[in-house]
Amino acid sequence: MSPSLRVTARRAGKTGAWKSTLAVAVCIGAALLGLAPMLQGAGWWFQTMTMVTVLLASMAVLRARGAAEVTVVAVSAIIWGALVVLLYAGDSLWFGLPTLATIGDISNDLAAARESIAVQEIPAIADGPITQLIVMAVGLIAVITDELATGLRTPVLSGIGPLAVLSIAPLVRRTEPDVPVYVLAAVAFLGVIWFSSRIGGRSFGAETRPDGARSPALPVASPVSKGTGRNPGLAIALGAAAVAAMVVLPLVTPGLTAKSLADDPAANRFPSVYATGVDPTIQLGRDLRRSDAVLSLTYSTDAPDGLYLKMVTLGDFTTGTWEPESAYDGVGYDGQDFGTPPGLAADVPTEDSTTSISIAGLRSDWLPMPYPTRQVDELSGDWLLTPSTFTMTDLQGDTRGLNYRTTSLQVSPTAEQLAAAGAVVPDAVRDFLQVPADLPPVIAQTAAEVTKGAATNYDQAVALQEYFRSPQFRYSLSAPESGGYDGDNAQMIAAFLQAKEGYCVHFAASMAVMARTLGIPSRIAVGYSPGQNADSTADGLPVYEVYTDQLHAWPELYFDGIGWLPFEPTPGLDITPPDYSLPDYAKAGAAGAANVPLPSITATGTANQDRADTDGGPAAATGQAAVLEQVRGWGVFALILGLATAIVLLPWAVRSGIRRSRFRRLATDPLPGTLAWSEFEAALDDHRIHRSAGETVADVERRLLADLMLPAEPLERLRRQVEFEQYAPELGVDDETRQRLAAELRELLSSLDAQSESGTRLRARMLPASLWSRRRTPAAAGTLVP
Amino acid sequence: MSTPPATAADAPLSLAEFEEHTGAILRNLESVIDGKTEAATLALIVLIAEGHLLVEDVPGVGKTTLAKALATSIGCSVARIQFTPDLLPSDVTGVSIYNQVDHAFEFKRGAVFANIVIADEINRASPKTQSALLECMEEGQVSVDGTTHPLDAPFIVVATQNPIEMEGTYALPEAQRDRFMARISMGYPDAQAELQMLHHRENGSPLDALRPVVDKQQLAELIATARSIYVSRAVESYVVSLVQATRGHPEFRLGASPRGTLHLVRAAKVLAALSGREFVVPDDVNQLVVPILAHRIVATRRAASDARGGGSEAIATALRAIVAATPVPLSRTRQS
Repeated sequence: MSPSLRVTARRAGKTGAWKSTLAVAVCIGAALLGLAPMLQGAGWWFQTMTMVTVLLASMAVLRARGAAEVTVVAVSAIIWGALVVLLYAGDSLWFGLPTLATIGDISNDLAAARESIAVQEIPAIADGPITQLIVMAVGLIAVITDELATGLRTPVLSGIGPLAVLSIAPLVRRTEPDVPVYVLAAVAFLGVIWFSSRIGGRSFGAETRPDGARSPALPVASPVSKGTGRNPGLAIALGAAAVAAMVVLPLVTPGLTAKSLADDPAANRFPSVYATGVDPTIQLGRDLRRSDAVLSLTYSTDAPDGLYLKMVTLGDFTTGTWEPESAYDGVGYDGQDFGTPPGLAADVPTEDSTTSISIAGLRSDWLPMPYPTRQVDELSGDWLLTPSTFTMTDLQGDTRGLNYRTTSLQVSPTAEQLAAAGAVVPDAVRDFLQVPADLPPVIAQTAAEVTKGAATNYDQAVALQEYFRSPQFRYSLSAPESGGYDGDNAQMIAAFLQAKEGYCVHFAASMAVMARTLGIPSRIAVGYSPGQNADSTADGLPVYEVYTDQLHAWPELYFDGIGWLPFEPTPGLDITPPDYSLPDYAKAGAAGAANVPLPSITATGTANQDRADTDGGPAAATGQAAVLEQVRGWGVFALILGLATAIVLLPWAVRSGIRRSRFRRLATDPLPGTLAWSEFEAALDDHRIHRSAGETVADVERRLLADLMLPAEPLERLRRQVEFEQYAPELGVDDETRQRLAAELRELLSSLDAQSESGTRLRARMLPASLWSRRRTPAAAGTLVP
Repeated sequence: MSTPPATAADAPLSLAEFEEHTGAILRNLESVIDGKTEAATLALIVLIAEGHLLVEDVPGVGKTTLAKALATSIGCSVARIQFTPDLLPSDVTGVSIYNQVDHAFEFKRGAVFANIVIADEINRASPKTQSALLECMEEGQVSVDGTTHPLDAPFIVVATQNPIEMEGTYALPEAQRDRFMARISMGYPDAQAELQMLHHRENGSPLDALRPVVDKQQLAELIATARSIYVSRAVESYVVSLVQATRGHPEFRLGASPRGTLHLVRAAKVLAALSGREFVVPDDVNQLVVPILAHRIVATRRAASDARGGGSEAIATALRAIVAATPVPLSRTRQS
């Protein structure tokens, strides 16, 4: 065959290949949607799909021009590489040629992606490196998938690619799969199978029998050609590559990285992002639930005990999501004194303390500081100070590596001063009394019941804290999420008061809202609990280490003449509440005790390395939660296993259904012989017994009889019936013929099965080739048959 | 293009009778040439399909014997013309001679006035004489001096041609080869057939013992029966697909003609009848593709020089490839 003819033949053999490629693009796009819950925005999807589209379009064009499959794969791989280099390492090119620096650039980008994935909590921000990783990986998967589906026409194998993309989200999030996305991807995948099986009606040469044996009048039986006739080696290699991609991708995504990071001391250990625009309390809960607690910051202080480090306050409870105060109210900070904390009268005893903070892995817009800080020194960068809350932000979202020193006050009001505050609320803090319009009445009722008999605001606050710290409440990280009341709105609080299980966010928010219903101004502080004493010193001061799982939220209540005071309603965290918040202190005040102990927030003495969700609550309850978590994990595993099994069994089920349907229709079909022949040919396809388009029914019969021990008479009768139905002038099929056809077809099929080797038989059952490759099309392109 | 609408009801013979007669002719043919069933069957097909047969092979393999046996088996007139370079067209067609007694021109019939004409070594005659014969073959009549003399039906020319000895011969041009329905090669007999032949020829030529088994009337009935064989639309389309695939085929300079399509269908009908079937199946067609179409096709120089057996082998290979690649009509719904 001349080269030009070969090209023509290949072109003819690939008519409709573009449809299969298009289906692959849709399938990849759908599978990619499975990543949507893990990433913010949609830019990454569009970028990836642009890459996929360019690659697949070039493959389709190459095929349409009759290029060999090897060329198609090679050229698309080159395009992939060129695009990656141009898009992500364009600066390193030397006169358009890649250099060593190019490889370095790209591997740096991938390392950055890995780091970014490790650092971020889900849903992560799809920053440059992450998007690049997805674009590169999914682009490659698209090429492999299309080659398997369209080039090698093994669409079932090609499902590995989209499946790899789809399985990332469930593997990483360990949650139920996103059903609509799965359905969409599955439908698109069926499209791939459909179009892949319809590529090319006729082709010269490719399907010609090698010997071309066909002598007139004297038929020469040529051996039945078994085997795929495709390139199994290439198919297997590509399949392995897809599996490898499937294995590698989850490895560089969060969750599964925890262990590998922990085992790798060189790897940076970063806590979570405290992203803006995301509900901070939900975010906090997620961060607490992280499997690996990593170091957020360290500090040393001359205060007698550890300090709460506040980052942000939530003051407005009336909107749907309780958000931090707007940073735009802030004033530029240039080392000046913050001024007197709001509401603090001069006669309240205070003591200065100095704290040196150095941030390890925390990424946040907000600066962790003790409250009330008077001054921050040695701080680099441009910062905004919000005067009403004494919080600072730079809107950059990255506090890593900062070192600074704060001078803060330790406010120690006496019991008398607290009692004297009474119920006075200055106008300046009246806003902090507003409650959500849809506040369930149960909240105010509970608040009133709990504080019955308390005279002053202060007494009520102490009673509220006592209520939450009583044994009826239990600390749990998982209960709110599984109970569906995670979050920070009024309904959540009602649910929490009912369930009495939750973590700091729930305790803090509930106490704050209940305080407001009682007329006490309140707000929620978000930051870090004091952390652990690291048993080391810096400049003679004890060093404390704060980990991600010490992210914390606590209520701050306002008392006239004293200002904002933190309370600690969250039980089970080994954090000692401030002295003034304890009932004994109030009683002592009432008794006129003169001793003025410093309010202290005692950090846990022992190194609390346990995960936050295990370090509180009764041990039995914690065990139960762990079991639940495990059951959930197994459930997801079983679901994935079931899904995988269903996918594996799907071809068999579909094929069996088709066979049953054909046997059923034998009783009524106007052309039962042809129907029976279709089923028989499908079985031949299943057994990989290939025939050329030009072989007649009789040709097939002759070859089969020469090679296999099939019952000759049923086969001959079947052939005669087909010829009669197809080419004879008149038609009439009686019931007897139909029954005979069914019986003889069964005989032929079982004989065919019995003739095959066990491996071939298993493949014929589990991967019936007739589903995706049909040798004979009823009216193939190029024939004149209408 | 298709044959006149004939149905099995019009057939003068049942398929059993058809088989009986054709079987007798085949037995006759096989009794004189051993081991050449294929050639004999093709010759019979051409006879019943009212075509002409070109037998092309080296000397001494039984070309003439086959032609003579075919002629003898039918009880009808047989003429044999030995073509030589000096043979004149009038020797073939006949000549008008002035009758001195009647004072009028009188037509002396040439050798072509017979039911079966054996044209031996047709390529030895001059093109002019060849043309005279080929004209008769196509028209079924002879025109001499403005007078048309119809030829008696059935009329079949069995021409033989020697491809080896090219010296002093005039190979049939493509256009004239097209008039033959089929070209067959005898080929050498295998060892066993050759032994059998020695045994048969011990006591003189078996041709002498041959007796007609079918008379002229019966041959006409056989022909009519074959015409009544049904050809479905699907098979017609299949034939057209095959023939069209030869046109514009990269290895062919000239594809098969519409006459080739016609001949293919006619021959396939006979083959179907010989197989005892009232309708044509694609197998009937594709078995006949090479003998019916090959001699009408001209291979490109390149293809001819590439092929091992020269041009005709290249053509046969390409035709088999076309057959293997042309989808056989097989439809889930019935076509009208």
